[in-house]
Amino acid sequence: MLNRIFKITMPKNREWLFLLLILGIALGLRMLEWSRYDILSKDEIFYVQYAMNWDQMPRLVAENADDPELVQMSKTPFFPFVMSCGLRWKLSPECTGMLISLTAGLAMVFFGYKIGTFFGRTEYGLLLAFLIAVNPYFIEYSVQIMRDQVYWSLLACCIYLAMKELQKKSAAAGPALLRGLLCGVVVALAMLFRREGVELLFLVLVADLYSLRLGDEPFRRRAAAALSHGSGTVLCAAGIVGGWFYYLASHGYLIDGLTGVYLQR
Amino acid sequence: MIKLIFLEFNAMIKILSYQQLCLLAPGLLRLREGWKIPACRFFWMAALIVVGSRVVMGAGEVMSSSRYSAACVLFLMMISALGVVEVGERLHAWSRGKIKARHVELAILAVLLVVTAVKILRPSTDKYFLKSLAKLLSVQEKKSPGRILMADNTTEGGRILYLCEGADSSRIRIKKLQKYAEMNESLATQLEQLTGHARLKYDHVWVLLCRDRKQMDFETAGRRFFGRFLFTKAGEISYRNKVFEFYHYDQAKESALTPNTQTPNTEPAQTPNTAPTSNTALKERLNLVLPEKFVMFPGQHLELFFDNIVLDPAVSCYPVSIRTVPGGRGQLLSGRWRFEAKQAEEFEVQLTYLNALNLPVVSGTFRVKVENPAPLPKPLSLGISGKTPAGLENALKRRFPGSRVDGNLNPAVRYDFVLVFADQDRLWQLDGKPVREAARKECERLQQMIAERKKAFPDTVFIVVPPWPPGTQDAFGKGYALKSRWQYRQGQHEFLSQMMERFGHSESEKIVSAPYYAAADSVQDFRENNPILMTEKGLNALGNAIENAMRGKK
Repeated sequence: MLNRIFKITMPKNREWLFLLLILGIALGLRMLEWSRYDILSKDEIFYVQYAMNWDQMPRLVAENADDPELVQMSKTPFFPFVMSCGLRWKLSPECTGMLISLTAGLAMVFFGYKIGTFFGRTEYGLLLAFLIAVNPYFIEYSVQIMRDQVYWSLLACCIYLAMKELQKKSAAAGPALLRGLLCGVVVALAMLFRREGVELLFLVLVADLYSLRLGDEPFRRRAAAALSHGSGTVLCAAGIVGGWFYYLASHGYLIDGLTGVYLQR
Repeated sequence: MIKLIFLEFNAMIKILSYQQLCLLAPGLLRLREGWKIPACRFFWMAALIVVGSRVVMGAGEVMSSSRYSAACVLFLMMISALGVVEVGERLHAWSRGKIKARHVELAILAVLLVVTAVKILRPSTDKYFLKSLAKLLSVQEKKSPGRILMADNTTEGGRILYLCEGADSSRIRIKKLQKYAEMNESLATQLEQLTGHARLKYDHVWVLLCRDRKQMDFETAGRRFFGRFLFTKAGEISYRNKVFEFYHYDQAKESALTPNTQTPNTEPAQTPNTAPTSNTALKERLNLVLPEKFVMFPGQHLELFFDNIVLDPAVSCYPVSIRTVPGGRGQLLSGRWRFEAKQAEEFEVQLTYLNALNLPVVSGTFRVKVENPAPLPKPLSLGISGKTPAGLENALKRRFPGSRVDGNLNPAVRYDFVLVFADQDRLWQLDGKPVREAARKECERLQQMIAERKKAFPDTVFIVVPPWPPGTQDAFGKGYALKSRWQYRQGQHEFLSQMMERFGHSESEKIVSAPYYAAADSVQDFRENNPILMTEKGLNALGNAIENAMRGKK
């Protein structure tokens, strides 16, 4: 599917090996950090608690409505929800959360590589991937049960997709819509994980607007492609986010945005 | 806006490691790289959008959460990546081809890798602290199973949920808390002594003394995860198969380390000479109220209950050291000190509440005077002022046969003694009001009343009976469901403190106190279904205290 949309070409063998090496280093450093990281922070504990008690979350938040920090953390309950899903496969929320962060950390290295390669030399991609791989801050958050690393990876992914969209050779509306849907998934996930994920939607739309100026094909064709991509992104993101809020509302998790108090069913 | 932009970049630079930061400058020289590629131009556009959105949306949040700014670091890293190539190529050109650009790049990357690995392997200060805390936890557990000390590094000082081995490791908060370090220097020193870690300089190790009513109650037990302990309940957690209680940290007051159980210690404990200054607030809160002396007669015994003389819901946390001068008197039992009077003597008792480090928190002294009972006038005339506990009048009549006991003072009668009771009913009314002020007013009223009575009965000895603690919590649950024992106890203790301050040392004015409050047995002296109504045993104990005061005075 991805190959069809983007016609992904694997790097040449040597670069591929370098990338694997960097990913290996990234994984090694993160595992090292994981082995040393033996204390859960307060925020992590909150997330774990919310995940472990997903069914009771509205009550927990309502009881602690006087704590703005807790309420703030519960306003985007998608992360605890995902962590709680791990329970179905007998994975503890902590383990699920850490695996999510770890995967996101490695994904960010990969997307860093992909972004860097747009600068004309594969070397830039490898260097950027390496710098992300060895950045202590990202390493630390890659092994924490936090949604931040996921968000950063989604940001990198979204930028990569937008850059990829600008590098397209053909302005066909059909594939553009599919790519837009994929972008929409990424944007929606970012919005579900963190509210500022809405900036990714803005990024994609800016990229679409910018793409109107690019290419040799007729403007109408370029505009149709940009419109397809943009509308695909918006519709997909809106659909996913809307579906999520419908789920929250139907299960009594909908939050009053002003007060942060959950509205009980 | 400029300030916000500055703060945003400041936050980003903090996230970017210094090594990568050094590469920014050469990277800026290479910013034009790929400028002709639309995707690259968009990349820098995206940088402006992301940074701008943070500046606009994150007003006020920029400094509080570096995570918020971390999304922008991707763009700085791209510049650093360009910088690596730039440095390599510059050195290559400078050395006229002797140094290969690729080698320089690899060297830079190797340095970055080594620095990162060292950073990971080197324990950061807060992790070090938390590990120390975990160690301390286990030490504490060995010393006194059942309760552990708690850490809290939130400025709000609220929730225990963060703690135990999973204490908050947020660096920002720790930095914020450093300003309190000086205040808690002595506590840090104590912890150092206990843990042996000289770097334990943070101030956020506390014992939480008050129950947190707003605690998050997740109704789940603690459990282990990847070799670490994850506690899941604020009020009570399991740790190594033991249940621990947690208390809410009251930030306004400093705390000491408190183990759960007090160790019965029949040997006179050596009281350390130097008390830590950080215990001042705790001392105030405990508000130790001791009578000046207990008058006893041979054959009687005295039981001094420790939770009656201080005010703290976690009073059982504090080990108590009793030292008598001369020594060897009495027996230190769990929760009380017992002394059986055998012969006429007088000695001093030094009582000290200790913290977990065996350092004194609060101490006080009283005297025990054992003397042969002086005869009472016959027939005895006894007046009572104030509201007595039900059954006391009859108990006094049985105790002193043929005596006159008036529940209401008669001006025409010359009383030998007048018993003055604080109005217990008023203690109920203290709830919800500033306790200290209410108690002060009540004591003033009582003092005024005694002054008036003294005019009417100039030769009479007034025996003030300060309010005593009520029965158990269970009794409150049945009879007074709307009020907790603790609520009552707060008012009672404040009242007691002020009464003892006013009347506890005024024998010369023919006013003596009958310190029944210290010897009140909250389990056996009160009825099962009512914490205020006294049993026969309780009335007898109260009668003893009154009689001792009367005989001691005469």
